[in-house]
Amino acid sequence: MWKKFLFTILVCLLFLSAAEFATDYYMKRYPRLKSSYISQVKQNADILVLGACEAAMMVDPSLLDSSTGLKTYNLGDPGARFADNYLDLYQYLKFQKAPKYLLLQVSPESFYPIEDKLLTTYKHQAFLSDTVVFNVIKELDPEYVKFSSIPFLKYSYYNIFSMYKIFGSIGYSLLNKKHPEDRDGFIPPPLFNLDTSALSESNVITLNSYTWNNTEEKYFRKIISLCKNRGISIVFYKLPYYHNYYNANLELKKYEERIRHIATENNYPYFTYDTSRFTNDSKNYYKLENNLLNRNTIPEFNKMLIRDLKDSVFIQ
Amino acid sequence: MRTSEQILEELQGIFIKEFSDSSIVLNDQSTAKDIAMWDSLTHMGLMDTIERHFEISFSLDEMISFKNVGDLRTAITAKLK
Amino acid sequence: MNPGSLNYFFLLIGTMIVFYLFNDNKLKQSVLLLASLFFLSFFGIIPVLTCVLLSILNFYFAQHAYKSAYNFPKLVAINTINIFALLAFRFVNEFEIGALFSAPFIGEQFVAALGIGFYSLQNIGYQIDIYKKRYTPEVSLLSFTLCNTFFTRISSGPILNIKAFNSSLSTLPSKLTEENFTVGLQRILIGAIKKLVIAERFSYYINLYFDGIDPGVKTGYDVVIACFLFTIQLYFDFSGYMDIAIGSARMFGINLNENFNMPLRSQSVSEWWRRWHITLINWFTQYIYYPVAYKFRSKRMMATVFAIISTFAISAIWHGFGVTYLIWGSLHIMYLIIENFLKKDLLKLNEKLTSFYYQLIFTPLTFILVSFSNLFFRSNSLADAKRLLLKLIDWRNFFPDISLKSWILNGVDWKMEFMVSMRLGFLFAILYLLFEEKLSSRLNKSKFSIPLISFLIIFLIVFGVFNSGTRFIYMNF
Repeated sequence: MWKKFLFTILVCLLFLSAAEFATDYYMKRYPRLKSSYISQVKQNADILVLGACEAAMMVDPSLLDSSTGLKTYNLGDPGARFADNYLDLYQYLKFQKAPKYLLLQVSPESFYPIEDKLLTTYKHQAFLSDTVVFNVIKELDPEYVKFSSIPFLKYSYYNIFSMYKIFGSIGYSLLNKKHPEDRDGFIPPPLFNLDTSALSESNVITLNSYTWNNTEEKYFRKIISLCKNRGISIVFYKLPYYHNYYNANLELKKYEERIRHIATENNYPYFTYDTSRFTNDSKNYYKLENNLLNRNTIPEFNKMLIRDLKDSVFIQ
Repeated sequence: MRTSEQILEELQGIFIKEFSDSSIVLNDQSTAKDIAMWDSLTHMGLMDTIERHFEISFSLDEMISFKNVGDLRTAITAKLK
Repeated sequence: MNPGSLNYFFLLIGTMIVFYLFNDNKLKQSVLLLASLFFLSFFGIIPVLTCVLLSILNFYFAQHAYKSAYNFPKLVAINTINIFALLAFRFVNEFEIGALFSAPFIGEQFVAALGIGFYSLQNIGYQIDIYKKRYTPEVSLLSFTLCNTFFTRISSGPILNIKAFNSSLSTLPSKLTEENFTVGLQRILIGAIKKLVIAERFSYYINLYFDGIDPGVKTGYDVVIACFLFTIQLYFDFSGYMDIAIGSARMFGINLNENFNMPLRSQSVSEWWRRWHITLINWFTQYIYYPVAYKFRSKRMMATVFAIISTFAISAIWHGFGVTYLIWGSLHIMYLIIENFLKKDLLKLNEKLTSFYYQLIFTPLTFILVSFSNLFFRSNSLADAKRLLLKLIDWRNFFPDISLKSWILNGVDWKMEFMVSMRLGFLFAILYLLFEEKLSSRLNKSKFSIPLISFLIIFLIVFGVFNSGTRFIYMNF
């Protein structure tokens, strides 16, 4: 019996090693995973867009390219927070040449204490084997680090996320696709206008008040110092907040002051779009809860962004 | 004094009447599994009818210890003596 | 420490090694008791003290009372203490955490006295049995305490019959046999698979619907899906725990009772209760249902009705103090009474339709009825249940108002990962349910098969979701 048992264990170990090897292989080559994609394909971008899903879904590099003549890459990552942004930027600079400008989405919301300190995007990064990444993850998600260091359980902890990406990657490699659908990293929001699954207007307005999140600020400042070291100039911009939401929440204004303070401290421009005409109508949004515009209004927002960039950044 | 066969026959009559099912044929090995209507919900009612019919009384422990009709018949025979 | 967590398996393996080092039966029992107390101590000192003190009290009380004529007042006295302890700790739980499910799944303060719901029932049953002179009191305090604390099953059952358990304790094996090891390992693996590969994949979805301030539920369709999924999740979670408990006990040569017998195949609610959480229902049948039905048996149908009502009323209180549990209990009382009245007609219908078509209609119907009652079972509060019910009856907005494609995918952007995972879990659940009968008989076979066990281990590690909510749902009770 024990011989059989040991043989079984051996069979399992062989299979699991093979599976882990294959997982590593496919993870590294998944074009839709931005952190993998930038390690494989050269971007040569002059402007780098950084932020959460709002950045990924609202800043269209093709519009920026055509009107500024500079090459743009959108590194926005759905669900990302400053710590994730920091890791994204770190990874980007590791494999790519440093951009001239960094367009960083900084909204009061970026400082939400989201229940716990978990990273939201680096749930699949067990294969990166990079000490900087490892230390950040260790600080924010110690359980994950502890668990994924057990042999053969590297991808088990966040199985839901890794499984999805492996399937996606296998699909891409079967179709022999080396690039994602949207090459510049832009992920246009889904077709329909206001998402019915999103919060209703009144729910958004009564959303909780919050306290400044120091962990987020730490990584926010790390992004700034990383850019200073590499000679990248940063531009902050704030989302076009839905006006009822913004006006009803006094906290937001306090947050904005602090952000503005950090911007002036470092002599960075800070663009806000609170008075733009589409912030008055909830129909212009795709998702109210995170002030995400829909497909109809995004080009207009990009025009305003480009105008501001031309006026106050590129002129120097 | 009734014989075992008589008791079984009378039991069969009670079962048929209680469960309104004329197809019931009992033997000592019959269990609740063989008779669709006979389960924990109808058991106590059945027991009550049997008690009245034979003018005997069972304790709770006896009632829930019958594994099949044979057990039941033996218990009735013992009580009737 | 949760059953299914790595710590649990370290404890199991450690206990096994020490257990098989000794040859003496008493020493083996002591090893199991120490391991059980160690397990309990992970949940704080209170569970250990409560469990040990109540065991000692019940043990000596039964012995003493048996010698000096066990009368009814004595039975009332001891069981008042047992019930009081049970209710007191239940109350502390409710008081501390508000509602059962709203608490985070991981946290020691959550269970004031782990397993008290299960061993209290064992003790109450034991006292009644001794009072009724069904058997003589136990002579060994060690095995009596072990029966209450045995670590593989303390947190969620199965509920043991002290007499039967102790007879298996007297014949503990001296060597780990191939049969025990193989069956034990297979049961542990399938249990872990049920929990980590299937039940866990639903938790994001279900928590979103039942706990969320996030408006997870938008339409009646969502409520229906949430209730169905919860019933499936509860089955896989709970029976997965049972498999681990039974499999672990098997490693020590102890056979625990089965607690599930393919409940999702029931064709009526009464059949459901014969297949679901069997040891608990047996306890209720033996100590509540039958005595009540016996007492009023001359009232015929009314006796049955009254017995059903008392059984489920007590069952509802046992599960928790909330109004939602009372509604859950009432629904089952209603189902069972209606079924009892329609029994003859249903049997005729069965003959008319032939059992295949009957099954085709009544298996889903039973599932729907039970799932509906689970809406109340899972809801955190009456207000939550009401919110879900209102969505359910709003027939104009029953289906979500989005395109067919996104309706099928039922999710946009980053939530896709959860949706895909949930569907994968659902696929596994359906496959398991289809082959349940064959699979469970295969897993109880004692021949060590390299392909089967390798498959189970690999499947568990490749598809297991190890990160969230590793508590078993029934640990709350």
